[in-house]
Amino acid sequence: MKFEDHFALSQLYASYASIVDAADWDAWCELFTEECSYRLVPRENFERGLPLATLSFESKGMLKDRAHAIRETLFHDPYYQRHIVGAPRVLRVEGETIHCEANYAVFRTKLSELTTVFNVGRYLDAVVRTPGGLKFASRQCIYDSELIPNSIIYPI
Amino acid sequence: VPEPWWGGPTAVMTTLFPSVVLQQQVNSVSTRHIQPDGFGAFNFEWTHFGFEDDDAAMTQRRLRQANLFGPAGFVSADDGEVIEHSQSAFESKPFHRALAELGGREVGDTDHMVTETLIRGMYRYWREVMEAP
Repeated sequence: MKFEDHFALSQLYASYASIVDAADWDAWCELFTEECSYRLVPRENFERGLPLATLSFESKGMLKDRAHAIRETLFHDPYYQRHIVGAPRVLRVEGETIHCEANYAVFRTKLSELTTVFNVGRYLDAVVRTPGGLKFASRQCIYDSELIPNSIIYPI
Repeated sequence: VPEPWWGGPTAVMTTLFPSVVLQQQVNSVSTRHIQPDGFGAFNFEWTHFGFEDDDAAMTQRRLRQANLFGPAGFVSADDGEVIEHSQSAFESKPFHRALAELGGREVGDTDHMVTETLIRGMYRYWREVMEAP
């Protein structure tokens, strides 16, 4: 892998964290390809090969549904989230697809409350080259934190 | 709620006193189980069901519809949020009492859902079972 490719991959990861922490849901959708997969999966289900996911989206259209739901239909107590994402580890490169992973921790802060650890896990990704730069063809958030503090509204 | 395109009710909820809900919404079949975890806290366990004779398309359909439910689900995430809001309000004045008065103070059948009769009924029965005579 060339240095500029690794730099672009690191930028994609940093952009993702920055965008979801800024609550810019439209920009979040644009980090993915049209035919994409975004899954939020408990680690136990992932390791046992069980198909159920906490969220499982199969296209950019479904991501847009989520963005709409966050803004318009999902009544919720708003919160800040803050992503701390490790450096991407490249697992293998197949043609135009980079298979990679990174650890993450997401902290949550609600109005007038202490910051808490919200969700911790590992991203397992397939990143592809497009005319618009690197995009996620697939992002799985495999989380260790199986006891969820009530609800997850925003994308991890 | 009966829907002609489905040929019957699309959403059926059966509550088993005091802590289990059996839920069928279209092709999504699941249970919700309240497990008390000390004072002021409980765990809410979701179990989604598929069946041995489901074909791959039906399994896919059930998994897709599972996006509606659970702690991040499109229709259930805000149920948890609303309950947390309610609990915060109940606890804000421990020397006061909270009343669930939507639809009156009685317990009975209604032909609509704009009522807290189910909450009153649950607690009426809870007191009947739990309180010393």
